[in-house]
Amino acid sequence: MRSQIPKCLSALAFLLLLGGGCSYDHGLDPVPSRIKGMIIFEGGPPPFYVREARLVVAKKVPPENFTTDVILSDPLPFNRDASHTGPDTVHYEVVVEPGTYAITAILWRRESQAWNIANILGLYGVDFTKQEFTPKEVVIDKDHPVADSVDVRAYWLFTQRDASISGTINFKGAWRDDTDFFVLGFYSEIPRNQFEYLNFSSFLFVLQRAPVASYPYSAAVNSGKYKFIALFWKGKASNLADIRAIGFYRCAGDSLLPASAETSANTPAAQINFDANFATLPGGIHFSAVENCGQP
Amino acid sequence: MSHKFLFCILLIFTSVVFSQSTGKIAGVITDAETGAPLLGANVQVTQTLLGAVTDVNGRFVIRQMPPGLYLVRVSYIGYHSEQARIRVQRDSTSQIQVALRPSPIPFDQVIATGARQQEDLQRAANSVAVIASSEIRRRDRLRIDESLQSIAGVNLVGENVNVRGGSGYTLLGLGASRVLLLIDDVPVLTSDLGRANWDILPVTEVERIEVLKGAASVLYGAGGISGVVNVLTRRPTSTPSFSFRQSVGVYDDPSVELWRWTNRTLYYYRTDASFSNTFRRLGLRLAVSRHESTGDRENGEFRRWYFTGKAVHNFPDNSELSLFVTYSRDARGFFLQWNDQDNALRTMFRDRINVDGVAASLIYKKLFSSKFSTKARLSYNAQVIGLPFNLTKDFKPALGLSGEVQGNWLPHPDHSLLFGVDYKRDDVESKYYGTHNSQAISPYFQELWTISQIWQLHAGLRYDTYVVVGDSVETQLSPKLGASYNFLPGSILHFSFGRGFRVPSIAERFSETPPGTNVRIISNPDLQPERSTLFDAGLRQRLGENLSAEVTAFWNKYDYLIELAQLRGQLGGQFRNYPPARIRGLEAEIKARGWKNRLGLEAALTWMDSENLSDDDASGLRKGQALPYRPRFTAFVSPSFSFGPATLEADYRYMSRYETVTFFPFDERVPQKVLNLRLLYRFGRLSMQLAVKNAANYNYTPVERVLGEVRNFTFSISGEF
Repeated sequence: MRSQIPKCLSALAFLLLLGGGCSYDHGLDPVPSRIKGMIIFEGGPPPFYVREARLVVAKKVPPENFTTDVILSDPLPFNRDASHTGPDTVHYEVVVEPGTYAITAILWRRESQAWNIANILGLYGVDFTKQEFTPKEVVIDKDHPVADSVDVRAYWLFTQRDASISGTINFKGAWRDDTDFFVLGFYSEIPRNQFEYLNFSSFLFVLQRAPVASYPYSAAVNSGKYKFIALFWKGKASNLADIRAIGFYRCAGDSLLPASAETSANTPAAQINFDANFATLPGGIHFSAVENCGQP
Repeated sequence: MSHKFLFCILLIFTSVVFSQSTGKIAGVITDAETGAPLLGANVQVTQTLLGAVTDVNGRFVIRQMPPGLYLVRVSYIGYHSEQARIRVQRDSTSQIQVALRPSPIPFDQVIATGARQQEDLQRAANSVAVIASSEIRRRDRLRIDESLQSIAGVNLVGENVNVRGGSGYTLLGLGASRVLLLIDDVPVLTSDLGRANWDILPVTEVERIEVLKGAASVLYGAGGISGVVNVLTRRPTSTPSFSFRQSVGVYDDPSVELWRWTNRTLYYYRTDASFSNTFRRLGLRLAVSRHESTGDRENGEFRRWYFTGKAVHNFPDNSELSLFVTYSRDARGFFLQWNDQDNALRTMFRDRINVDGVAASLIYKKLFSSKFSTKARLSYNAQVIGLPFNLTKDFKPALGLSGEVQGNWLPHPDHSLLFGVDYKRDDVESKYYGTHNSQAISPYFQELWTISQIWQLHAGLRYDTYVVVGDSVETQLSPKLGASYNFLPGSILHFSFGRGFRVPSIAERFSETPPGTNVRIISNPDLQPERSTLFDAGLRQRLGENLSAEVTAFWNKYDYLIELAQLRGQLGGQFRNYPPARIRGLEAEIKARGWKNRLGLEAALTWMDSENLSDDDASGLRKGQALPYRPRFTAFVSPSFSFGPATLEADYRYMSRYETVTFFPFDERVPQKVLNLRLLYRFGRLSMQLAVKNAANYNYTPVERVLGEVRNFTFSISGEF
């Protein structure tokens, strides 16, 4: 019996050491920094092919890597019931590191489709009811760890993508080394000023920083007539509100009149080719607001 | 010394004593090592319905034995079973004395829930788990639901018990339970909400808990759609017995200083006391418990009282009448949710609620012969489940009255037929769902066929008719089939298949709160009953004296699950039938002892995959999406080390984070990792325990915006005299 006691104590000591040697994480902690607000879904219910929608927060737009450069929320609850007539809102709270977040947006995707930053339902700062079209940054730092009331309106209208437009963009002029990205915008109405640039019906990010002579594109859009199709350039030093048009799909023989393209589910619009000229920067290219190439 | 472990001393001798025209078997069951009498040992005469349970002196008597040669089986949790042949003669008492060897692993348990009659757990066709009272005491459990956390396939989501993911979580507990709670085989779900009050009786009065995982509706009717928890209470002793337990504990500071919300010492204490004796033929057991706590969070304090009584009268004609009554009152603050994650132990809600419950049952058992017995039951159940926002005042106690007549007939030594009819009536009233009366009548039967020494077959059928008076009629036929195959010594394959159903509770169908109220509920009288198709198959394996393991695969399909669909921008919702869902998974359990019985290990692992099977626009659920509040992995590991009268134990519980939740999907969620440590010391009839719960002070949210319990230290002392 006496000889068994040291064995017992040794085993006990071993167990305690084993326990003491383990390092436990403490699970939840107070959240030092976060973004919170409300998401307001507009124009519901969404089309049947909408698989899910999520909130996305990213420091950089567009993100180069969707798995590492963005914070993607869990699937958002929203109403699919056509009989529901009340507001469809959800409060959110996202834990983020300190930093400057270029966009807080709602994205959607179809079944078995990958996440695409172009599939945006809404952006913080873009509110059609208030005529606000400037995406706002969110800054989180030690003094301001919580950004509250970062409300986002999400428009189901943007999920309508039953047709496509494709073509080639031919770059002219000396390639800008400070190119951050391009946005190809499709507009139902010709924007009349810088603020209406974000009033697009559909858009496509073009992540092309290295010089190329031409860039073939294909964009999913809704059926209809697009009166203005343009390529916007964003420099590394500028913010999203300072994008500049450097080329647009134009009428033959006239350098200022935008041409329109019409597409439907059965008739995709192809060969929508146009030039984009870096020489128009910094001010950007000029265009006329006259529709239909001046024809009545 | 070791020979004592290897061989038991089995003494059988008979003596002729004056008796009636039939004979008796009487005897004493003791511990082979210590010679101490064993209280509660189960003595069964095989291939008959005759049996008995030993009293505090280890004694038992089985009356009305027809003359003949019998095989008597004696079993007791924590001991090896023993069998003995004994001859019974007319007008005589055959004496038997059995000394049981302690078993490190509880191989030979007898259960009553799986087939609604006594059967060997090892040979059961169903997946059944047993929690003994010793385990409840050892792990310092305070509630019935807490006690279930060591079982593979069972986890808690708030106060909802999930068996194989069958339940989820409903805000404020408004949804009904998919696990049927029984006390001594009597259903005690609340009549209005269909909820289980897991704190309706003190755990010190529990003899054991049997958990049936899988199809149970064929035996117990609506309610047990995913499982049954049967709480079997302690019986009166034949000699005076007094037992007590006193626990005191303090809460540690939260691991995050920012969360500290008071400078007061936060504490709790619990006192349990019971007295038991038999006066002539009347056995009585009375128990009282008091549990008070400041809680570890704001508005988390509670005061609980429990009164429990059991009276058992044995008549000379081999019949027994028992009355069981339990009353509990829980007055507590209601911690609905935290203010925010920086103030995780503070809440803006100041509601206080009372949860009152009384359950009573009167059971008469009559043994007509060794081949035929009957049981008749009447039970009464009145409960008020507390709700916040001052809602409770608008509810009258929900009343449930039920009765049952059951027969058990052995037409042949290999066949056991169980048949009966259940009747249930519920009367409920609230300003939110009006006044309703529902009734259900359900005939059922089951056959347990021992085909051979290695094959056993269960088959059963039940037909339920459920009527909400003046409103609707639902009927359901529930079949069940199961088998066990003892293909090698110590190796048993088992499978079971069955269909279950649950009618929507009155509250789920008819509750309606006016617009503008704190919790907006919209009624849905068109709710369909939930239905389940449950299948499982597994292997029970015994490896030597010191190791047992069980692996079970399950596949369950649920139709018309009733869930609270959340309203946008407002607290509340509407109960709706959800699209079909499938939950499949794998469970593994292992129990092992070693190094001269000093080291022990219990482990339970569960992998579960839940999935919606179709899109549903009304609820917003998509095909392939995981069901909310279903963890993919759960694990429970409990090593122990004994040295002399002391035992050091640890429990580690892991639960992966919920993939989807309903109410606050943006909140940070982490897995649950809870470590409990205990040091137990036995000193004669006294035992002491020092326990640390949540020893790592790990922070997690069992349900959204409610932090898990902060680390706390408990000292308890208990004894039985």
